[in-house]
Amino acid sequence: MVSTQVSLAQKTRLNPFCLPSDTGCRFALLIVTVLGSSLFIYDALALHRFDPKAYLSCLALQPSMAEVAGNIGSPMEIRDPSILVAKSAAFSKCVMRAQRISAEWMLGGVAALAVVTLAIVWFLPAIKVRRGRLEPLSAEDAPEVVACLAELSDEAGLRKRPRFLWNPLNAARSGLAFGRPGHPCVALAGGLVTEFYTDPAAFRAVMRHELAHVRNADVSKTYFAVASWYAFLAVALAPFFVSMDRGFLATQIWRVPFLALLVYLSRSAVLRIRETYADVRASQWDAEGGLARVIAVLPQVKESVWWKLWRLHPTPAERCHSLDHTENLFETGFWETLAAGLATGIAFPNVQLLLQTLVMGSVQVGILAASVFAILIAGIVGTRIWRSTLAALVGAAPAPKTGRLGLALALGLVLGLKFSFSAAFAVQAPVPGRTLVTFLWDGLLVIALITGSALFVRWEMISASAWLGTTATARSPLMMYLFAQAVSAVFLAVIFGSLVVAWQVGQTYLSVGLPGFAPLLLAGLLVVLTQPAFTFLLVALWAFPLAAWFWRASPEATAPSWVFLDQPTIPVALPQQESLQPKLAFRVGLVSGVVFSLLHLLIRLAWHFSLHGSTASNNAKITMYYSQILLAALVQLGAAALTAARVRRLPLLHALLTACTGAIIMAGAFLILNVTFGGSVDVKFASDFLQSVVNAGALFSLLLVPPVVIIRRRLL
Amino acid sequence: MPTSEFDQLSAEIGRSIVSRAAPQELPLYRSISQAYLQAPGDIQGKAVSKDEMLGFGMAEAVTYLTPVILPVLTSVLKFLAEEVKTSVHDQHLVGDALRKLFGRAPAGSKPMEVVLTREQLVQVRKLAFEKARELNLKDQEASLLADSIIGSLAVPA
Repeated sequence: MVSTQVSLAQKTRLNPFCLPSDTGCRFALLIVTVLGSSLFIYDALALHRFDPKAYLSCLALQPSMAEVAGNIGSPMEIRDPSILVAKSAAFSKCVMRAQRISAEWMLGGVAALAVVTLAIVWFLPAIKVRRGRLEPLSAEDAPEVVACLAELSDEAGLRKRPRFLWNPLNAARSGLAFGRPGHPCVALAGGLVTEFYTDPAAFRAVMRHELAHVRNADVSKTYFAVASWYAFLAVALAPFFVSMDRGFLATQIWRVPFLALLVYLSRSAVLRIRETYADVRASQWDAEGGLARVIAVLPQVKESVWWKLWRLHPTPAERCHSLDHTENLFETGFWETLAAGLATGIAFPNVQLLLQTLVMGSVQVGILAASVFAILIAGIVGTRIWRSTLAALVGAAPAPKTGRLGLALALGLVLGLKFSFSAAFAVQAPVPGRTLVTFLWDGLLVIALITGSALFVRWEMISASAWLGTTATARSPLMMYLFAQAVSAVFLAVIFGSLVVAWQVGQTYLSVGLPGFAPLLLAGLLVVLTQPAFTFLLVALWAFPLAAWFWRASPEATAPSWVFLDQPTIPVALPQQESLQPKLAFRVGLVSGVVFSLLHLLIRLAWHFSLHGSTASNNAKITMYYSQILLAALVQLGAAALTAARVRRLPLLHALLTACTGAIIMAGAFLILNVTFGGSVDVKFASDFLQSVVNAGALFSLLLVPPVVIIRRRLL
Repeated sequence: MPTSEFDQLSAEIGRSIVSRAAPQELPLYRSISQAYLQAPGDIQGKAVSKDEMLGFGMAEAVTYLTPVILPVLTSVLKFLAEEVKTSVHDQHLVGDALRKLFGRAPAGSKPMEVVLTREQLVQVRKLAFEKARELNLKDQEASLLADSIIGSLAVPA
């Protein structure tokens, strides 16, 4: 990706504030974990009031297995499914009514959780003032200190100065930023105020750190994190333990400490990372070097990684290191990504459960739930990948490892689904002899999930790399980042939603004893080929990253100022990247379209002047239709491989552009020739053919072009 | 002599001790002594509250004498009041006697002979040291404070 590795980190520090910080990512994770776990708890509580009779009466409405099996004919045979569809709808409506109580409990519970959290956030500052016996620090108390604090607030660029409070009788040497949203306060212990007279640089360092919390807008996040933990304990876990019957608790009790632990560690992670960001921010204003000195004399602790997870502060050694090496804040680690997957995996089935009681249709529910989590994953993991890619682009850190991160994300999702409270209730009566095929189906979906996750990570990285390169003259990369995250959320929603729907359909299909694993795969492939969502996915795959070519920076562009925390004295040249070559890919695609058109014309002529042309059966026409799709896909594959062999940067994406360009020409030629030779074309036929040609060509290219890329790289 | 008067007297005498033992705290002395007089039971030693765990991370306290001197002096003054009762005939003059002991006799006060024995001084030192330790001062700091208090007492030659 980066052709020249210039270690800019040696020259100046990277600016960790140019993109949304990890504090926000961890905070979002915490909220997802709390929300997901709480939803389940309220659903479990609702089960106490669940009327099994209502559910049993619904079962009588659902279509029988014989009816379903009887409606499935051969792939060439079309049967009217309206009776089955009507029965399924009646069953779904009945179940929704029966499960309404779960929705009420879940929504009510989450509302209660939110109210308690907000109440804690609202009242906590007042409690702190009272318990800490804090009083306003006035100019009468210490005029020099008050003047210094005003100066430091202005230096921090705060729009509104915080309220400074102190406890003169507290000998501690500490400060604390707290307060309600929009009303920040900073508390000073008497010991710290005394330090203003004995070691003013140390005093200023501590105050800069506290003001940095206000500037970083992490004070509200901190107290929301603290409050959400207490609210989770009081409003979710406590009622759960009180209300659940012993039989359930005996078998499922292990899930509770696990989830509580996850919530607690997520909270601690938020509190820990914000300290590092506050240190880095404060260091920008601390020309006198007081901060590093104050941190260096903090008590050093040697702890295992496990114990570090519990701490609310990084160790002094870590804090000192982060001051000089801000590139560490740009890393995307395996465990952080796994945690993101885990939190999402835990929350996902519970949100799906809630949606099932509000929205009809399992497909719609699956897609809706997947969309919610696509936004979360794109926001959390996507942000981290953008940060890592930025560091890699300027040569300050290695590029994120796609496979590793994809595996972490998928592993987290799978583990999350297993650890989720919902898994406790997901007990289905197995159909004899079906265990193996459902297991195989699950295995296949897990592989698809890992592949999809790796694809998402890789795509995020490529997009970040392409688009960050265009922001050399921009004042901030934020707008571009936000746009990219919106696109990637849709991108991921399609991947994740398709997998969820495929898994549900497959599970239902196989678990009720309908025939065959292979027919299911074949049906799935045919569905994929004609899916507009899949076409969108394939087009987005290349279109978004390659569109950066239109806004490409000049080769002489220097690194924008927002990349660095401290402005370099001389402009820093950006490491040169190979340029994108969409023109070449487009040209090859056009040629492939022409090649297919000529081949298809010859076939058409032969078909037309042969016996088939006038008396062809439906089966022969269907064979002709699919054979042309296959031919188009093969020609696209050849052209895509050619492009991949010639392009240096992002060869696979260029190959997909070639395939897509070719597919559009091919579809156009096919439809025109169809009309020319006496056939008819309607909108549905045209769109189905276009989607099939685009999807088939892209699918072939995705599977077979990577070996070409690998071979070419080895040869070079 | 009411408790509030002891506190008031501690605040008065404390300033001179702080000016010797911890002059850097003098700018804050008025605010701290006022806070102490309003709530003498609120002195916080070196114990770290949970709130401070969310703070900068410097959990340790500094050697911060003023909030400790005041309660230590109050204890010392209470002890001395009991000791001087015997030599002062008019109980209303106990306050003046204590001020005199610290070399701060009010102008125009009646002359009186108030002298502490060596044993009494040893007891005062021990009391001051123990109270300071109770408030979480380290041995060395508590010792320094106790010595400063002894030094402030008008010891006869």
